[in-house]
Amino acid sequence: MKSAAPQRAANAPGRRFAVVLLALFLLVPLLPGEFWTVVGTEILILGLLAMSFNLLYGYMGQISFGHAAFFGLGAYATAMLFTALKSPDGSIGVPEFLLSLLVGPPVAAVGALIVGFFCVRLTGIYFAMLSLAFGELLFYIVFSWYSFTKGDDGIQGLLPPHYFQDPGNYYYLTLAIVVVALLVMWRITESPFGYIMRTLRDNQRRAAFLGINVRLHMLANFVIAGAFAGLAGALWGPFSRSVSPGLLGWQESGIAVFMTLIGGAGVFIGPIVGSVIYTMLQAVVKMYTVYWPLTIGTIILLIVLFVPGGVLGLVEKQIKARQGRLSDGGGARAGSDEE
Amino acid sequence: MTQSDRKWDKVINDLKLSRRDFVFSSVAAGVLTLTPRFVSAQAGAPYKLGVLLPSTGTGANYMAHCIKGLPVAIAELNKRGGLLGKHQIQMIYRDTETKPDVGAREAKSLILNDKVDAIFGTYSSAVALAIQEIIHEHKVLHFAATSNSSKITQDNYTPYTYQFCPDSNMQSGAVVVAVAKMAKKNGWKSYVSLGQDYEWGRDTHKGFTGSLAKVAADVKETRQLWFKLGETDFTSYITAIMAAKPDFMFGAIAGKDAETFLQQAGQMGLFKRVPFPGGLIAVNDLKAQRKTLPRGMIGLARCPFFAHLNEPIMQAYIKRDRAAFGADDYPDDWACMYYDALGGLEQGAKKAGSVSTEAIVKALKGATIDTCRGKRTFRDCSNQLEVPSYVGEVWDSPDYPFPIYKPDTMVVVEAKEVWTPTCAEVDKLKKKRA
Repeated sequence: MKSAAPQRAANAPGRRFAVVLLALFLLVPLLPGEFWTVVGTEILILGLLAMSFNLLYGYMGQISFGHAAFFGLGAYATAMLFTALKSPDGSIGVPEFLLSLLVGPPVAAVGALIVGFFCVRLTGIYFAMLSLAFGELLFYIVFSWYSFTKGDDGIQGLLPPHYFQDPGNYYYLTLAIVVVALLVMWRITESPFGYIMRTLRDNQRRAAFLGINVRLHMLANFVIAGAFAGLAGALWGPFSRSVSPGLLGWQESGIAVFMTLIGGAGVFIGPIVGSVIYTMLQAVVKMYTVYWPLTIGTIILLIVLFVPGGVLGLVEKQIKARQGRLSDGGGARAGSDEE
Repeated sequence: MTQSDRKWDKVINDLKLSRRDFVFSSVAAGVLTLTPRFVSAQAGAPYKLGVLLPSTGTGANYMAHCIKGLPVAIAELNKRGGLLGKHQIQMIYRDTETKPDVGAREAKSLILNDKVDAIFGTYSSAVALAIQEIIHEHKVLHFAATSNSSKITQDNYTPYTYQFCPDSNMQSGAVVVAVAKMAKKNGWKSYVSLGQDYEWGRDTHKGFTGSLAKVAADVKETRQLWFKLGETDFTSYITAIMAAKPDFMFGAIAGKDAETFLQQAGQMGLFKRVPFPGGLIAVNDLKAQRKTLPRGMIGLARCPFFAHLNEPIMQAYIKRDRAAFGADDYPDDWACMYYDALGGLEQGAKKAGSVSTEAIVKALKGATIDTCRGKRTFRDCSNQLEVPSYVGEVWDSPDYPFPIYKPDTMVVVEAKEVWTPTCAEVDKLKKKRA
């Protein structure tokens, strides 16, 4: 493990980039029209989903194709409580609205605990397939249970309180929640627990020899990732004004995978950057053509073939190469001084 | 022939080549919109029409003709000057992928970015319910013409939505009327239901079983079978139906799934053993399955062109679509209903004397409009157009290269016979909106 001081130094460019990104996010509602504010909100929510997915993929080394199930569970938990707390005239107060948001993460965490209990017994492709199977199972339950979830219809009428109906205000609420969530995630990934995750990613057998309870740590990470996905889902319902079973489906999970691959799984904020690229590209491409699946498929293909570390992975590589050249040059100069 | 006329003809000819690719069609409509030859001297602001239909996902095959046909119909309307003779319609298409969250996102994009004045769409009822939340919030006119869950005009009612196709209750009611007659004639006592496991399927099934129990209490449902959207193998369902040995079967199946089921069931000889009255067999099914569809089978349609050949609007519509897409390319039910929606928009603007949303909403309330299906009136309390459903026997006509419904077997069930009886009942279902 790295000691704290060099680690902080190594993280400095990333930290500066995060601050710049945050500043840019703060400015989004100042753009003319409401459209880009809405796109910005989507970037943040789906970015949080992708970040939570990366706790499993980038830090624990396991790919889940059923991660959106927890996004959907969070969305449905919020939608159901939201509907129950609405007054007879269809409106909802701010406290009730915030309370409905709070219920998303714990419900998703409970779901993740149950699913994770089975999934963490496997690794690699078996982990991926089992997570996919559970994801589809949850999707089908929500899709079919009409009396409880409204089935394929989904739940409509999730209009937030008047103040948050303004896209700018909802955006800033989302930004605040996502920033806090990312800070907590950062803290987790930089804690001893986070480094245990990296160890499990790199060599599970060695971790077990070191006395680490592999399954327990994997399960804890699975639940944490599920809870953050649930938080993203909780924000999605009132943003979209409705929820539907598709939120739990494998295609939604695929979006988190795409975003992570585009942004870079090896960098903490990679998935958020992936969300910026994916969501903005989608918004723009769909204005001109229906061939969005072809477009994103081509992009993913190019990324996997030529930029396997994602956009931020490439940037990080360039920075390290530059730092290496500078230190080599410095070393050479120092050497010549000595001569 | 002027240069503009040649340009117009070229565009129409080009459209013949396009399949479902609306892009070229939309561009054509846009080009025509910009052609000065067609713009009146008192040209007003363009009227932006967002079209939300799937070109991917289940239902894409049903929407293909709508997507390629709407730009042609719009181009023709624009040739007359557009809405009120001065507002050229600019069509902006988006693919909903038959997913509610995508539909809601694209509705927001159309409203906030493209600033559309109205939205036409969509195919799936679940998507329609999701976009209703967006259109109600932003007070945008919405014409639904395919998605037909009764919730769209009742439980999830918004004054901005107008419905141009018979709702799920009306359709299942129409099947009940037809089946009750057949059950009495053939002595049928039992049936098995097979449905798509989603809102429309459940809603249609519920409407059918409830209504049939009222008019033919001695006819019992012995088994329900539900399958997931996008099912590709119906073998187990078909064998289960055969094993149950019902007198007939009821189906709540649409889209690609209907096509797949009909093909597989036909091959396995299901329809020779179990009559299947009331399965949705629209014109596109009749065209696509012209060789395999069992003759004598009883189908249900929403807007079959052959039922209204005497209507001048239908005649003109058929003529134009055949000219644009080929002599065999008759409009299907879905394209027909969206054509009526476009006509409704034109007539609504004319009645209102304005293209403002509020004015059109007010003008169409309880209004009677001219459609492919004759003069039809919007129900005051739900904005549901008073349109019939059609039940008939699949039959080879000498006049068409595909089967149609045999004219003397076709039962046209009018809306008032089968829709939610009173406005008081409809109002009771409506949810409160903040």
